[in-house]
Amino acid sequence: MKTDKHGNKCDQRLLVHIFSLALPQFDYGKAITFAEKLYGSNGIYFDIGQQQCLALSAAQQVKLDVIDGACKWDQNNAEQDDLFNLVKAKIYSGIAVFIVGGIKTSATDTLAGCAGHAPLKPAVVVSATGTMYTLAHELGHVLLTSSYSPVHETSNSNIMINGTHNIPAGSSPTFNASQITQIKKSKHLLVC
Amino acid sequence: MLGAALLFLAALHVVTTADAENAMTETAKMTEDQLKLRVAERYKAVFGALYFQNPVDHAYVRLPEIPAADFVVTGQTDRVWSVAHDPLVGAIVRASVSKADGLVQFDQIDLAVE
Repeated sequence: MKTDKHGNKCDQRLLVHIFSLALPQFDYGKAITFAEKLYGSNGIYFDIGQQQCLALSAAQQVKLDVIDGACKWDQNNAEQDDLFNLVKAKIYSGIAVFIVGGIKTSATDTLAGCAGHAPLKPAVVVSATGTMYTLAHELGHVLLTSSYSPVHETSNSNIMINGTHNIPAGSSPTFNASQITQIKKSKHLLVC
Repeated sequence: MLGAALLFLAALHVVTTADAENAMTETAKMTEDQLKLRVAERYKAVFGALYFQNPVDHAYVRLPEIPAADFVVTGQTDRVWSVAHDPLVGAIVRASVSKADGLVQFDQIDLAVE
């Protein structure tokens, strides 16, 4: 049976494609290692299909440095659509991850990440100002889907806590059993 | 005189109990829409003018208004209904509405930023 580099066996595979538009302020390497261990320890192989820095025109850079618009279940805002259109030819399956300079839902509301996406465009947006846990958290939302409740947990030992900035540095938050049961039903998970 | 006073108090007690029972009956009969509206109105009254510090950029933002329709009745016990607003991002609100008197207790108010 296939195992990942941390020795976790592969029951299912989570294929992600990571596209950077901005330099993350969090430790990118730690974010990836954490996601590998978190999903891997639950039998889900964290499979990175591609990691790319996107080359944008000057106009695109200005427009997409900060993603503006609503972050809601099962829909994209216009700039999320623009992001996805940049890479859709490169993705045949899996979930796109965009690392951007910032995310704003209004002139005042700043987000660390957004997992809302149109049903046929599976993607998450992670702000460069997020934490090393934000990427794994947003992918958790995509896998759990809008039907799962509660959307956020209050314990900082759970990766789906509201606000990963509340997770102590160096700790390893997990999913609970109910979340794992739901995640393993996700249509986004592939065979190993 | 003392007898009259006791009679008055006894009558008052009966009225108070009856009122409470009526209130409980009325509250227990609330529809889902009425429950959600009650929580939305109390949320607006209690938290509508408060500011919350956004943990990402540390700016102070006003707690957003939440339409009654966006609340969800998530469960009930013998004594309360549980009502929640649990979005992907925005204000997280969890409240309990007493079946006895309709009082709304807010169990959690938070701001989801990811």
